[in-house]
Amino acid sequence: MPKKYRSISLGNLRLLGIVIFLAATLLAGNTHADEARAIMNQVDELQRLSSNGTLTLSRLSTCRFTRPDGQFICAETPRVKIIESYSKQFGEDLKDSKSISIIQEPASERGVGMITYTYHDPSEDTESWVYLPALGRVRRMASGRGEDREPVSVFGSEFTTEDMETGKTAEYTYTIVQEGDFGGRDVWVIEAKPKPIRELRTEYSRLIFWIDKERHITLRMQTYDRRGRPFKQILFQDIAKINNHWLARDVTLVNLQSQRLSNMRTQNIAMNVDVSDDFLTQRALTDYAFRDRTLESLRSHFQ
Amino acid sequence: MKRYALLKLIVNTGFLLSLLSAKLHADYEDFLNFDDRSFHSGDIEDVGPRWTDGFKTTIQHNHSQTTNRIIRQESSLRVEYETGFAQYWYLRVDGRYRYFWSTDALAKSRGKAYGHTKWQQGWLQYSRGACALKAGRQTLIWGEVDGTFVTDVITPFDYTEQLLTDFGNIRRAQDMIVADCFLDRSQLQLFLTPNAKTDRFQHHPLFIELQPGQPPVNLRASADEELGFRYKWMGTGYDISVMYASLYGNTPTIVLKNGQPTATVVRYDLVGLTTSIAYRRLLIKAEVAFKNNQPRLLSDQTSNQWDSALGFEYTTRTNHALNAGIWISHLENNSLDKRKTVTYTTAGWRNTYLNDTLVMSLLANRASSPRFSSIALLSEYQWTDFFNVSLAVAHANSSEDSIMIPLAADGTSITLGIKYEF
Repeated sequence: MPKKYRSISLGNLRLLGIVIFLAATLLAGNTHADEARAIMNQVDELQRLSSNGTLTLSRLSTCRFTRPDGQFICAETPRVKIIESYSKQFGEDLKDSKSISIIQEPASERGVGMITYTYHDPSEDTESWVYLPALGRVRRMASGRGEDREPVSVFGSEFTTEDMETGKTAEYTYTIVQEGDFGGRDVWVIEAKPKPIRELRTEYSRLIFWIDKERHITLRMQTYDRRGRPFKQILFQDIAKINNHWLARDVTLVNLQSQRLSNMRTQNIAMNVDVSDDFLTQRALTDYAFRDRTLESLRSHFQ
Repeated sequence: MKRYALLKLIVNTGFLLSLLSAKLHADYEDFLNFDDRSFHSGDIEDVGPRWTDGFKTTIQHNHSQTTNRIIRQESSLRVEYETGFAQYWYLRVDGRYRYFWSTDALAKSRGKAYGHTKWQQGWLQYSRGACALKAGRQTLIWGEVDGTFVTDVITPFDYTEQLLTDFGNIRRAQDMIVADCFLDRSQLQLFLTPNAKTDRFQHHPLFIELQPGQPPVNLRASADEELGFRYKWMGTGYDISVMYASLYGNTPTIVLKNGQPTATVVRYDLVGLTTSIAYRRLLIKAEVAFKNNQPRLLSDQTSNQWDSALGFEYTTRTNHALNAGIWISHLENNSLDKRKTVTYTTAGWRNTYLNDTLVMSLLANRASSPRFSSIALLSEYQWTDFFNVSLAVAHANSSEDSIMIPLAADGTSITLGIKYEF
C-alpha cells in the first residue's frame, strides 16, 4: 500500500474515533437531559397536585442569620407573618390556579386579603385583587403576566414569586449531574439552566435540585445568580406524607448574599378538600361571615 | 508529516476537552457531600390560641406642624374586635378614644384639651346562600379612581384625622344597612342610611365668617335618609359597575335662604358608571356620574353637574407603582359662577424597600378652582411587627379665594406618627 494512503487512513480513523466518542457523549447527554426533564416534570406535577384543594395555615418568619457551629440561626428577633391560604388548580393539566390568602398576623396587617388567578397560557395576564381594611374596598391589581417584571418578594420575605411558581419546567434545560446518597436518601442531583425565554426575568443563572428518588420531592435547592455566584439555598425539612402527597412542612430559604433567611412552616394543612368556586372570588374578601364559615369547614380537615 | 499529525492531534484533543468542559464544570462539585447546614425553625416561638384572639389594640400618637404652629398633637387608643360567633353571623366592633393635647389646633380653638370617642365600626353581618346583610356603623366606598370623588360620595370624611398618614381613619362611618348578593360573576349591592352624616371638620361648631362685620355662619347641616344600589360585573381583566343613589351632599354649602346665608346639604340623585381594566402591568380606571340639584355657593339656585374621572396605575419592571388621575367636574346652566368646569389632577409614586418594611410614596394634586396644589412625601416604616413609624412632609398652596373650610395647612408641614399595634 502506498505510504501516503496509509497515513491518511490512520488520521481518518483517529478523527472517526473522536466523532464516535463525541456522538456517544452527546447522545448520553441528551438521554440524561430527557430523563432529567421527565423527573422534574413529575416533581412539578406532584407539587401542583398537592396544591389542589389545599388549605394551609403557615408561619412565615424572616430574619438576619449567623452560622455558628455550621447551623443557620436567627441573629435577631424574626418578623413573623401568619397566613391562611387556600388554592385550587384548574384547566388543562391543572396548570391554572386560583388562590386566596388572608393575613392573620402581625396585627398591623390583620385582615389584608388577596385573591390571585394565574394562568399557564403565557398570553393570559395574572389577575389579582387585594382588600385592605384601611381602604375599605376591593381593588383590582395590574399584575401582568409576571413574565415581564422582576420577581416580587412574597409578603416581604426572601421568597420571591419565582421561587413559588410551578408549571414552568419547559423554560429550563435539565441535566442529571450526580446520583447517590444524600442525608440517607437516594437522590438525583439535577442541574437546571434557564432558556432564553426565561433569562429575561430570572434572578438565577443556574439551579441545582436534590430530588428524592423514591418520593419525587425536592430535598434541597441551590441557586446561583447571574454571575454564577451562590445565591440562595432552599432547605426542605420535616417531610411528611399527607393524603398520599409527600410534602415538606418546613421550608427555609437562605439568601447567602443578603445574609437573611425566611422560613415557611406549615402549621396546619388540609389537602384535597373541595369547596365552592365562590370562595375564590371577591366575595370572600368582603363577606366575612361567608369566608369564616367556609374556612371553619376547611379547618375541620386539618392534619 | 509528523508535525502535521501532531498538530492534528493537539487540535482534536483541544476540541474534545472544550466540549467536555461544561460537563466537567458541573461535575467538579461533589453535590452528595454538599453544604448540609440546616435551620431549626422550632426556635421561633409558636403562639397558640388565646382569649385575646379577635382583638386588636392600637396605641398611637400623631404630631403635625407647620414652621410656625402645631396643627395636631393627638394621642389615641383603639380597640377592635371581630368574630364569627355563629355559623352565618359575623360581628365587628371598632372604637377609638382620641385625646387632643392643649397645643393641638382643635383644642386651642375649643379653648382647652379634650377627649373624643369615635365609633369607627360596629356592625353585625348575616350571610346565607348567595346574599349577605350587614347592619350597623360602617363605611361604604364606591369608585375606582383614587383621589377623586365622582362616585365615592356615600361615606363622608372626618377631616380631624391625619389625611396623609392615617388614611384608614379618615372616613366618617355611618349607621347603615348594606345588602350584597353575589351572582356568578356579578354583585348587586343595596344600601340604606336612615340618618346620613356630613363631613366633620372639628368637634365643636365651626363658624365661617363670610365678610367682616357680618355674623358668622354655623357650618352645620343635617341630612336625612340616603339609599341606593350598585350592580357590578366582573369580567376577565375588567370590572364595570352601574349605580344609582339618592343622597345628600357630604359637605355643607353656604347658600342663600330668604336672602340670608345658611349652611345646608341638598338631596340629589346620582347616576354613575365606573370601570377598571387591567392590561399587563397597566390598570386603567374610569368613572362618570350625573348629579342633579347641586347647590351653588351663596345662591338660592341649583345646577346639574357632570363628573368624570380617568386614572391609571402602572407597575414598572422593577416594581415601582405609578399612578395618575384627572377629575373634571362640569356644572350645567351655571350663569352664576365663572367656575363652570373644575379640574383636579393627582399623581403619585410608591415603592417598598427593606423587605417591604419601608414604604415610600409621593403624592401630588392640584385643583383649578379654587386654586389649590399640594405635594407630599410619605414614608412608613414597620420597625418591628408591633411598632410602626410614619413621616410625611407636605407643601400646600391655596389661592386667596380658596375654600373657606380649612382642610389643609398652607405652606410646608411635617407629620409624624408612631403606632403600636398588638
